[in-house]
This record gives sequence, C-alpha cells and structure tokens, in this order.
Amino acid sequence: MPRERAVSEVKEPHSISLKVLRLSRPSLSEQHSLPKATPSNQSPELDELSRQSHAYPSHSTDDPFILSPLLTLPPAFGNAYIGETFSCCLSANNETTSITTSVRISAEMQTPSLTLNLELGGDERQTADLDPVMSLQKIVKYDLKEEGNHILAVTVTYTEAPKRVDYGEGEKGAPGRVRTFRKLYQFIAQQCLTVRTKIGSLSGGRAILEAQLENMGDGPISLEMVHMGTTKGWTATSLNWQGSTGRGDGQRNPKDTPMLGSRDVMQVAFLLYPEETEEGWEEDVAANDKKILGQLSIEWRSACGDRGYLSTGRLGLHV
Amino acid sequence: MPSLPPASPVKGHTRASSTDERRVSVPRRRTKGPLDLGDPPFKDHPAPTSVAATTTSPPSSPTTPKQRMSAGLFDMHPPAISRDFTYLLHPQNFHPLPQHTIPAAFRAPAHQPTASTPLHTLLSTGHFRAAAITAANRLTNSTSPTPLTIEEIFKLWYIRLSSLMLIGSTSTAAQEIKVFSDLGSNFYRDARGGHLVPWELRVLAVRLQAIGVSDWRRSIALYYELAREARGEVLKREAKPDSPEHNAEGASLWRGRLCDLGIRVASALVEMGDLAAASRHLEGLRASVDDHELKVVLCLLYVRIGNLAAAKKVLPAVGGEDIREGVLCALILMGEAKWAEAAAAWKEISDTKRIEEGGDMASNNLAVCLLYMGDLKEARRVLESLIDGGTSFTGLTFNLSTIYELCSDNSKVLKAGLAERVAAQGKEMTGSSFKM
Repeated sequence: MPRERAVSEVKEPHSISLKVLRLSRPSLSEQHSLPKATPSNQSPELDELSRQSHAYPSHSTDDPFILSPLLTLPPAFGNAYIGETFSCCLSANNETTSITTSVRISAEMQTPSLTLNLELGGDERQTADLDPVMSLQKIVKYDLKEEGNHILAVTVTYTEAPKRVDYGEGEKGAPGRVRTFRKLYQFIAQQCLTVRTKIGSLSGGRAILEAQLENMGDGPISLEMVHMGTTKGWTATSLNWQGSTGRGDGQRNPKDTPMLGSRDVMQVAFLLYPEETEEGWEEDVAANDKKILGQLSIEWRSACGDRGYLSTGRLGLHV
Repeated sequence: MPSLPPASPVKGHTRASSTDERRVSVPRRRTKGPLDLGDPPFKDHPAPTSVAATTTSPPSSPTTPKQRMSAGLFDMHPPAISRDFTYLLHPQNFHPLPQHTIPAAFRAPAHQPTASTPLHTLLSTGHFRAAAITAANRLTNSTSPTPLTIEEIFKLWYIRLSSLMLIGSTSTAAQEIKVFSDLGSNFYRDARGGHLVPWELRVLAVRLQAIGVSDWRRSIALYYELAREARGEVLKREAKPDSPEHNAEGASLWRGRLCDLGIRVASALVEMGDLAAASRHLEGLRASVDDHELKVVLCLLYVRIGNLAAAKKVLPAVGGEDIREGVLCALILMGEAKWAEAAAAWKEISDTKRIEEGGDMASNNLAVCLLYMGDLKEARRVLESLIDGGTSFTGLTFNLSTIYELCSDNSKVLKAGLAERVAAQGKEMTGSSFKM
C-alpha cells in the first residue's frame, strides 16, 4: 500500500478533500454457485438460495462457473509493475456546505531519476466551481519504467467560499482565500518480468539469442508478443511458438499464447544472421568491440487485460 | 431471536469443548456405520448386501443379471433403512455465528425476523443468517414430538451449510461439514447402492471439505468420483429402450449434473489459482457444438487470464441470440481499455434489457466503466438508481461503497445510509459488502 502524506500550509481544515483510487483493471466477480436441488426437493426457497449464491440476481442458475461477467472495482492498491501503465482516479470533493470555486488538480510523478508533470484526463474542465457535495475527477496515467520508489504528488488549489462579514451597513462578502494543499502517494514499482539474455555465436557469422523470461509478479500473465528487433544488417528468425512475434499472425492460434504463472520461467530463442548487402556486411560495432544485434521487446497482459510492455537494452555480441 | 443454537445441557458452547467432543464421538460413530452390515435389513436380504459390500465398484458399474433382478425387486419394495444419523443432530456440530459482521442497519429490530418466522420465509426473504440458526435449532431440537426423517435431516443440513456460505461464513461451514466424514462411504448408501444424501449436499460438501482440510486437489478428485457416478447413471438410463431402467428424463437430469461437475472442476482449478489448467480442462471438455454455456465460461476465463485474443476467438461460438455475446464483447473492450466503446455497449444492454434479463449486471458494469472515464457522478447515479429500484447484491454495494469512499471524507455516513436502504428492502448483507 502506498504511504500517503499531506503537506499543507495551514492547519485549518480544508474545504476540499482529495481521494485517490488506483485503477488497475476491474475484476470479474467470483461466485460459489450452489448446486441445483434434486427435483424431489425443489422448492421456491431452495431456488432462492441458489439464485442468491450467484454474483447478481439475473445470473443463470444453470451456470456454476466461479467467474461471472459482473465487474467490481479494484479492492486495493495492489502491486505496481514496471512496463505497466499506472493509472489512478483523483477526486477533489467539496466537503463544505457552500460553493467552492476555481478547484484545480495537478499531479506530478517523482521517479528515482526524474520528476515530471502528468497530463490529466477525465473531466474536461481544467478548473471547476464545486457546489456542496460535488466533485471534480481526473484520471492520471503513467507508464512505469523504473524500479524503485515512486511518488505521485497531487496538488489541489481552490478558492474558499467568501466569508460573510458584517460591516454595519449591509452585508458585504470578503473575497475567499486561495488555498492549496498537496498530497503524496508513495509506492514501489517492481519488476513484473525479468529478462536474462545470452548471445552465442554460431558458424557462418550467425548468432543465437536465448532469453529466460521470469514472471516476478503475483499473478499469471499472458505473453502476447516476444519480438527481436534487429539493427540494420541483421535478421532474426523466431524459434518460439507460432505468432509469438505479433507480426503476420495469419495462422496464429491465440490458444497457444503462453501463460506464465507467478515465478514461472519461460525460455525463448532467436536465430540471428547477417543480411548480405551490396556493400558487404554492414556492422554496427560499438566502441567496446561489441556487435550490436538489436533489442528484445515483450508484451504481456495480466488479469482482465492489464497491459505491459518491456524492451531490453541493446543486445550485442562480443567480438 | 436466539443467536446461538441451543447449547448442550452438559457443557457451555465453547469452541474447545465442542471440538474435543467431536474428536471423540464422531470417528467412533462413523466406524460403526459401515460395519453395520449385520443389521436387520441386510440379514433379511442377502443379495443386496453383496452389492453394497462391493464398495470399490461404483454403483454404475455393469451389474450381473442376478443383481439387476434383485434391484428390480427392490424397486417394488424399497428396503427400510435403519441408519443411526443422530450424530448429525448434536449441538456440538454447530458453531456460534459472530454478530459483528453485520452492519448495524441490519440489526435493527424492524429488519430482523422474529424467532417464529418459518424457515422457508427466512430463505425467500434473504435472511440467511437467521435461516442458518433456525436450521441448526431444528436439527438439535430433541424435544420435538416427531423425530426428523432422514430427508429432513439432510435438507436442514443443506440449508444450514449453504446459508452459512451466503453470509460469508464459508470457513464455519467447512468446519461443520466435517461431521459427515466420508460421504463416499457405504454407510451413506442404501441396500441397493443408492445414495441417501441428496445430490446437492454431496456436491456442496466437496468444496467445503476441500476448504476444511486446505486441499484443493482433493476436491477435484471428489468431483471426478461424483462424475463417474453421474456418467454411470446416464449410461444406465440410456442403455436399452426396453430395459426397466431406461428413463429419458432421468438420463437428462444426470447428464446435466455431469456437465455441472465439469464446470465445477474448472472453478476449483481457478480457485486453486491454476488458470492454465482450468483453460486446458475447459478446452478439453467434449461438448456439443451448440453448447454455448461452455463457450461463455471459456471466454470469461480467457478474459480473466488476460488472453484477449483467445477470448475474441471464442466469441463467435457463443451465439448472438442472447445478450451473452454483447456482454463478453464489452468485457473484452474493457480489457483493451477502450472505455468509451465499452460504455456504449453496456449502455445499450442496460437500456434494452430489464433488470431480470441481465440489466442489473450491465448497469453495474456501465458504472464501473464510467468511473474509468472519470465520470464519477454518472457512475454513482447509475448505481444508486439500481439500489432505488430495489436491486441489491454484494458486487453492487461494494462498487457503490468504493465510489462513496472516493467522493467524500464522510464515506462512513454514506455507506451506513446505503446499508439502511438495503436493509429496508428486507435482505440481509454483511459488512464486507459495504467495505465496513
């Protein structure tokens, strides 16, 4: 769970509260369907028992499967993984009994190496005037790329309702103060998929790339694509399941998409060979005598479709 | 209303003492059962003894002509069963139920049934907690003038256990089912090999016993045991049109049970967390081409796994005459984060289908989708209008409670208000349904 810290300039309670909900994919409700009663035992009340054991009242009582199409919102913050898009719903709510004006939300993400301002989606209004009990929602999205501590810093600015002050000759409204507060949500981005690679040279100038993919996450993932993008002068042939490169998947059978359970390891391999060009072999040799062959990229989806994408650094062959 | 089943007169109803009692008494009674073969019904009818004694062969196994003949005889004269089921009536079998899981709104006397409310009313009005207690009271009430019949005992047990599950006390049910020990034992079969315990209780027991001993593999083995019996019953009834056992209605009942077990095995695999095995199992089920239900199940599993491409591929086989295809399609769109398209799809379903035709689920899902688009206000309105329309179920109140938590510092008050409204509808729900 993220740690939440509030930074505020005055101790006086704020007119606006800020709430955050992590938006990983909604989940399919689970149900433990009660078996149908034996015909001789059937009665309306036993039917009611069976009906109530399903995720929602109109669910067919003939279907005992644990998963139902009913969606529920994420129950907890969960783990944040590198390669996945981190998304949150931010809600600024008017907690007072009077109108609060010019409510604005802004957010920035502090990663171990940089701090950047986030673009906010959701409600189209940049600033909003909120009636009592009303809220302004924004959706923040950020592709997690770094391992370690992240802080989502959300700043809310608003203008308090004018205070009614009696000046003797009739009422005059004193302009409301502009106030601001900031809340920090700290979380750790972890590796979901670790990739260990090994390149060996073969005869004829060819090379073989082997990679071990390990699911470090807490749930299963579907490996949608494992692709070796080669640098100029090299071609790669996938030695993996059909359709694994995500390209030209005419005869691809999605049933074959491998599923990696938590801590499962899968081995993939690519055969690399130099392309013959008119000027001979064009090689990208780095300063440290390393032939750069290309980059391995992997796409996966976890529960209910949450998508992840990872690309290795440039992989090379020592010469 | 009494909150506990009547305690044993000798000891207080404490957890420790009841556990001890069970440890001593239950195994002894159980061993007595299967060894009771010398009892009068068996003495009088030696032929069925041999059927019952061959425990290892399932009742479905091909019977010799002689045995079939004797079985036919018993069709006309069902043997009197004398089994001692009094161990199922002991107060120690039943654990007290905690009160604190129920929000205050539901504990208000106005929403509580009286102690005299009959069991069937409790069930039909959704008072499953009270139903669980009443069922236990009926089972333990030794002062009743007419003793309970075997059928009544098992029916009350079924109501007790399933009500416990519905109020979120599955672990208690898993403890209580232990008193039955091995439901596969011959003790629970009559002289003809027929099972004395109703099918629904046997199926229910599988999952509860697996939870009780924390062994999911066992539940899969037990489902297969039941499936073997079901397959045998289907074959027996389909066998020859001129045989006395031929019965088309019975065959279709057992075939339905067999299909049901196939899906339950997949459910158990999902519950174990082995989603890959679940998908292999479902892909491998030999179903007819028009078994749309199975395709729906498979599609849902692929969505859960995150293999949206496979889910899409199953989709055409689901058939479009119902809302099924539309529902699955919208779920896949949400998996792909196409929120606006998915919201339109949910809206179309919820606008055209009534609550009892799937509109409840579609509206709930529309609200979830709207939240992902940042439209909390509309999401809240959709869910609240469902509640106002008299619909309430755990997923719905959970989602609305989550939205209340997002909307205000004061979510406790909002959630308590929601519980009040649901309580007024008569049905009882637990605190976890309201994130309390």
